[in-house]
Amino acid sequence: MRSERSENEGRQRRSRGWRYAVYALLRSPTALIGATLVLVIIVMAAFAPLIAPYDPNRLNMASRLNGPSAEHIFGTDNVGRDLFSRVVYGSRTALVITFVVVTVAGVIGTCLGAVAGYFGGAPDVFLMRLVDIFLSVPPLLFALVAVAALGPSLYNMMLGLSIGWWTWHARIVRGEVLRLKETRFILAARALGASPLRIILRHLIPNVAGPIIVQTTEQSGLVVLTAASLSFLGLGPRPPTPDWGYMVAVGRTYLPTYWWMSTFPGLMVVILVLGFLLLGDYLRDYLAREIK
Amino acid sequence: MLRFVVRRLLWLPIMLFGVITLVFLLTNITPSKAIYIRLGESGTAADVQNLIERYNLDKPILQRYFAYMAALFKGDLGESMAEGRPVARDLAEFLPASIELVLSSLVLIAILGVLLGIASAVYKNRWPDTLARGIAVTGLAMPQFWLAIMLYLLFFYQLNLLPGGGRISPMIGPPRHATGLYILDSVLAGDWDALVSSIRHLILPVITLSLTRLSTMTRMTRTAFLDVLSKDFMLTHQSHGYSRFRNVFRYGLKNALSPILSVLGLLIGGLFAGTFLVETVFSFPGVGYYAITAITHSDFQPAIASAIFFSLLYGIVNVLVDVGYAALDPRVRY
Amino acid sequence: MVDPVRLSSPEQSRHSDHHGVSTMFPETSFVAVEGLSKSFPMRKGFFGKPIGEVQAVRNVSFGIGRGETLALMGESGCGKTTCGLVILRLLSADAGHVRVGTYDVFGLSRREGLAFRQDAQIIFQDPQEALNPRMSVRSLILEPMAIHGRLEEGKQRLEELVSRVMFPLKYLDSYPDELSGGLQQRVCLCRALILQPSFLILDEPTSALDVSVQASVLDLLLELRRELGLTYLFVSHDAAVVRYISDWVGVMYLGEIVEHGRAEHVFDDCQHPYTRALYSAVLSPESRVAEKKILLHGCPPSPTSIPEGCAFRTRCWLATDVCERCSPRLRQAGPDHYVACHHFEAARSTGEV
Repeated sequence: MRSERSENEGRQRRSRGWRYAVYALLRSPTALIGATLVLVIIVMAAFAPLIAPYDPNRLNMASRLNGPSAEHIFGTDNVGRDLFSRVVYGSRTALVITFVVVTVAGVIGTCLGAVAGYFGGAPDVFLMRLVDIFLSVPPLLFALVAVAALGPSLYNMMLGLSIGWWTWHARIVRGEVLRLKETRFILAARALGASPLRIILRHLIPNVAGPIIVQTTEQSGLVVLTAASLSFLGLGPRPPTPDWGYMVAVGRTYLPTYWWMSTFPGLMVVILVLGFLLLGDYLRDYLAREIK
Repeated sequence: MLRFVVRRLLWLPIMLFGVITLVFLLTNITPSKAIYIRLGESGTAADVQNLIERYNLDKPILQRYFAYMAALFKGDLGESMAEGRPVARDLAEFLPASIELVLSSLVLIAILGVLLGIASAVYKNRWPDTLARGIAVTGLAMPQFWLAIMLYLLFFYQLNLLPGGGRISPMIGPPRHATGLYILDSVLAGDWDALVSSIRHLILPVITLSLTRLSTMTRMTRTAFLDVLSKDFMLTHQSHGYSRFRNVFRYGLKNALSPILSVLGLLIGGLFAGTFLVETVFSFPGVGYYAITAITHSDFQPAIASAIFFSLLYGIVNVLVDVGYAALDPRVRY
Repeated sequence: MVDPVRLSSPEQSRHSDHHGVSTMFPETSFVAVEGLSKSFPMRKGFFGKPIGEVQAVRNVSFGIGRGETLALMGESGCGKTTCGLVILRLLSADAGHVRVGTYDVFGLSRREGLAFRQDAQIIFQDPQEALNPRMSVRSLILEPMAIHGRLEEGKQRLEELVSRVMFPLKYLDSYPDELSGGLQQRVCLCRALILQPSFLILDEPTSALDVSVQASVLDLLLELRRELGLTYLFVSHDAAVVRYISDWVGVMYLGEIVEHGRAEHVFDDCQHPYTRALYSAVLSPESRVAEKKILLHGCPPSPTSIPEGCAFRTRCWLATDVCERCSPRLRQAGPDHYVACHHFEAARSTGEV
């Protein structure tokens, strides 16, 4: 017993858990910057009414097309709305889109991928063919066509994007499940009599959670980008909903003199996407270290 | 192996069929504005009726579908309703511009990405690494259309260095037509002005396209080089007295070549997708621009033709990449 | 303990005359395996055209008395692990019958299969791999009870069981990768035992552990068997371990049992040339076999192309024509001792290459 204990002490590894994860996060500049950027946007969205100095939809033709000034930090747009307020409210749109698309695509993709990976055979082949079809079309084109057909709106755009994105999750989850399927603890679970459902939910998915989280974070960035691109093309939420991409598009017709209308909304996109990407990068590294 | 390739290729027509049907349905659900665009304000009711009949717009959708598919089989891509020009010809005209754009971007990405990647790997975790990766990830984060606008503002408006749009200065005009690639044609024709002008017009779109994709290339190169640099044979070379620089370039590059090539392959698809936005912003007359206009006008023939083009391209590139992987790693085949 | 489903009467489990070994395991044996075969097809090409097969288990038969330990011993790849997996129905079998207690293992319905799982369990070789890294020790051990709807009972018995295997209670809420190999294996043991099975398959349970810990785990296994009245099927390549823990031994080569008998007979008086070669590599002062090391010439044949006749003949110094024409059957070489070789009598005296 004594030898057991000392041997055990020697093998003690760093404890898992939230505390360590947060600690590591705070020590990494990449993660800090990324997290800060994202947090800024989230705060902006959450406290929009408090942060925005003006009502984003308040028209004021008298002060239209004014440049950045003390009263209007980002200037005003072509119908006199305060750009800063619109940008602040635009963060809500962006985050809602991201959250919905990533969640829907993630859930669908994970379920289908897990089932396909675990059961193999016909459903697997069928799913992979399906994924191939979806993947053979560039996601932008996909969402583009979908929205162009159904009409531009917030919901249609989210729908189109979700359809475009579930395949990534499915593929990754399936790969991970295939890898895990042959490990002993899955076999042990079968030996214990666990049903496939239990195995998938209790054993496979928690162990796939890591890559899924990394994927999700990175994809959030891409979703924001694609959504902005779609709105830019006019296929996104219609005014008066404030949307960054659309604002850039509108501003484009007023180039080059009234440059602020295109610049600032786009800048916000960069900030949000950069935040997600940096976080995703950091998470991926963290996961790789955890595995070792 | 052959079976694998054949099987992957066999998949393409099926996928294509699916895409065509999908795009057709989607662009024909809502009534098309295309004919109204064509007629502008001067069209009479009779003109409208004419066009409607010409394009079968009054017939039920299923019938139009079959009519279109029948024509497609014969190789007829139809006409653009908004312009009235045959799609096939339009595509052929617009294609070289996009090709030129994509190829140039590919070259830029390859060179810049590899250089940054090498710098990253060699000076791992020191400032060149952070800088390179910072550039790469920031580039990735920027929406292409916004970057395009920013570049336009900076270089065209503020500094007046580069042209704001189009493919070549209208005063100079395109070089004698051989391949449709202006740079190549200018060289062949010895048309110096056209060459300079084309290049100047290409710079901003190419930068926009490239900067946003740099990240993948940099990251891949960095990984590949890190892998190679740590290998024993590199240390052996160093101990023999080879300079580090030479080491890195000669031997590192050779080994890192294959993943780099595969990334390039993957990028092609993404670059073509990027042409949508970049061409639109810079009014660069390429396939992306053509496609976007068609889609937003619900002009289904050009839209479908563009979709076919892109899907085919994507599909073939994917097949090639998959075949490449399978050739290297037999476990991949299934 | 769950009432075992009575599916087959003892008479039905009388097997046919495979290898003439009906004397080998009377109906009183608790576990009876008969004619077990399993092969894995190798597929190539897109359509999965089979181009060959790996014959992992070929016509294996043995019996285990209640409360006893039978060891399947052999080199890596001889099929012993596959045997264990098939017996527990974790892999499908190509042929054969298995009876565990009163369960006709291959003929169980789904519900009966679940009951069977409570009665027969397996411990794997690498304990770390066998434990879900995301579950705490407590959840891992309780999981089987949760699956079979006996969770409350499990919670009550948890601490007692854990102490019995000498696993410190303070680590109940730790995660597997925080524990040493010995402790991890104890967790696996608890997990298997909490269902109160009567039959346990142990697949090289100590191979992945430090040598210093191996002995304590083996002792624990022996003790538990005694206390709980378990029956063990022990799979190993390590002759020393096998000798320590088993009552009966079956030596396997390329999917077949080539020598079978009580441990003392097989070890001290081994007859099959392969067994003798195996033991000559093990330093064992108790062995009466000639101390000269026997070196087998040639490489082990690939399991995809097993030689005709006696599979061992390509490396055997006693091989003759008859070995190629005819596959040897298990013949009695002594009380509770069977050998599958044409020439084992002749081999008694020699021990040279």
